[in-house]
Amino acid sequence: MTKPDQSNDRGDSTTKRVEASLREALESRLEALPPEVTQRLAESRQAALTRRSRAYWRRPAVGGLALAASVLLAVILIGQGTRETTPGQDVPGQHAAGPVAAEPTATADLLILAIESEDLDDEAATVIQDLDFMLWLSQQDDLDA
Amino acid sequence: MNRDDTRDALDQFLAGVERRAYRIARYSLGGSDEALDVVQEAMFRLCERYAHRPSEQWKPLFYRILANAITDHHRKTARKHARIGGAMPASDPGSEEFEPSAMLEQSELGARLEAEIGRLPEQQRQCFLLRCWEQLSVAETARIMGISIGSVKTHYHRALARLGVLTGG
Repeated sequence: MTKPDQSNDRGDSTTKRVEASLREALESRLEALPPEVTQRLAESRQAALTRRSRAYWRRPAVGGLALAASVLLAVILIGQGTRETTPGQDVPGQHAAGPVAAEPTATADLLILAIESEDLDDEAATVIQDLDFMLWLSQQDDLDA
Repeated sequence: MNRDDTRDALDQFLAGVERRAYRIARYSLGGSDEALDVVQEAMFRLCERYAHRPSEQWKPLFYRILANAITDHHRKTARKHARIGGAMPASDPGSEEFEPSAMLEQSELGARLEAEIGRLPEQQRQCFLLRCWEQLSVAETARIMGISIGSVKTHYHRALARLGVLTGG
């Protein structure tokens, strides 16, 4: 008669102990934050809550909107193409494999490539990232629905 | 919730995450000013655009916005350095806290841990901080990072194996 395998339980408890130890060490570092950092964080929070103007925050311009929309459309089409060729992802009613399994970080990679090839300026790239975020948000809403 | 209630709830939420968010940004970006900048950006975006959303959505939204802001900062920095033809500065995740006076107040493990976190690959670092520190689920972490659940598990396992050595685990 074999003994019950307790190795997984031991592994889990060891992992939990390590996690707790690391968490505790990180939390202790929060207490050591310089007062000026804590102060600036509080100021930023109050400014955000009261909609005051940002001290060092630049709004994206809409100059590159057409180019940004084109690149985002390409990203979406590439993403859809990838999903369609992946077995088992287009099962009706199963949303989880879609947005979660897709890799929106591909947008960031594409942005870097476009910027390095001098095809895209910073403002247009910022607009793309905003649009990418809106796409991500709509996917989250689909998941929550 | 009326407007005042929403504001109070947002205040409480942001006060609860701002220091950890600063640390996360600092580990990725190296500089204190840069980290404060992206945390402020994330705060403004959350308050301006998503305050009306249910409060249980604020945390994943905030960390997703923060992750985007960090990526954006890396991109701009890479572009700037490419323009001037110089190398990118090495990440220095905690220089201000590594000053001798501050060091005296901090645990040795915490200091070594921060240095090691700063050396982790970006995705391992994000996975570790969201899973272990923020205690988000695998699924929540995957949604924030925009990667699969399997990738989160892999990155987290690798990060934990590397950092766990520091605790003797």
